Amino acid sequence: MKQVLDGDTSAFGTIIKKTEGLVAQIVFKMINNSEDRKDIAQDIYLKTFKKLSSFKFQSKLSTWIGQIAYNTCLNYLEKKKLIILPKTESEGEALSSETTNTSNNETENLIFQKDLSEILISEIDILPPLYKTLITLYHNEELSYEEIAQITELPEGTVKSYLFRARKSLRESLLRKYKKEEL
Amino acid sequence: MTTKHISDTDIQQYILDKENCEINIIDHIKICKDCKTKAEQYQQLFTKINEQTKPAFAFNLPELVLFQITKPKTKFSSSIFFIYLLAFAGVSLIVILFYFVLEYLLKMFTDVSPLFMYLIIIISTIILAFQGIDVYRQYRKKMNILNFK
Repeated sequence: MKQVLDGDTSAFGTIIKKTEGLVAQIVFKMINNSEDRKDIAQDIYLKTFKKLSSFKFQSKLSTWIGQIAYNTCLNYLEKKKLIILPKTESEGEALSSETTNTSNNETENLIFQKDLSEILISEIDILPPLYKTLITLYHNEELSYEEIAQITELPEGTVKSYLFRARKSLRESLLRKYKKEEL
Repeated sequence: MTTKHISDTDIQQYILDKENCEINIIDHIKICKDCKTKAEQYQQLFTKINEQTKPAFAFNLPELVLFQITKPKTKFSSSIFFIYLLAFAGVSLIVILFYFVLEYLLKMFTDVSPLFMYLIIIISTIILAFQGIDVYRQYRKKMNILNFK
């Protein structure tokens, strides 16, 4: 980072290479359009480059860049008037509880033994962008609740609560999907 | 042991952190078929999520970004000229001030007793040493962050 601040811009390439994976996870989960992803990814690192001197060393550099990535994607979604998380989840929960009540153990188990991987990818895609991002950061990037809270600027308790809801929602949507296919 | 079905939150917590899970939850899951099935499903779900391939950009991101950063500047940067001007004015002011007050400054140090002078030097050295240690600690901390440790 010192090299970059001293004017050695090529050293910034090393920073990009080391943090690109995390940024890709956030961008892919929050943005669906592939052309927009390209612009946003560049925008994230241009912002990082401009703000680099203001980095306060209060977190990991990757977490700080993750925060910039998340906020850039959030601004994009707001501009496009896309919803990051539905305000009320009552509808979804009502539907899911109905499904859970009527399902039996054997049917439920079948789906998890059948083609879970294939369905999972499409079902994760249907989740709200915030849920997708939280699941990815926790399970794939193996970040702690504290780090995720820093990236999303949400309280740690809220992150935990959203994650529990996201997993519950995912499990229930998988079961619903299977039932539909069976009919 | 609880006879009421366990919430999804507790079942997820059981899968994620079995060691710190309450004993009555563990006992319930052992004997309740419904909760055990749910726990198994969550376990499989987590495993499958972890197995997902990580996405990657289909373009060379460092190259694209560096190209934009290193674009040659076409305009003369007036801010740099202003900074140099300010620095020159500052240095000139200090030199002029010293020229006029140097005589009085020297008198101030020569009139003080040697014992008092040693005391000032020792205290200043101790303060500087502590500050130096603190700066070094901060430096190590920053380097660890930069090295992704």
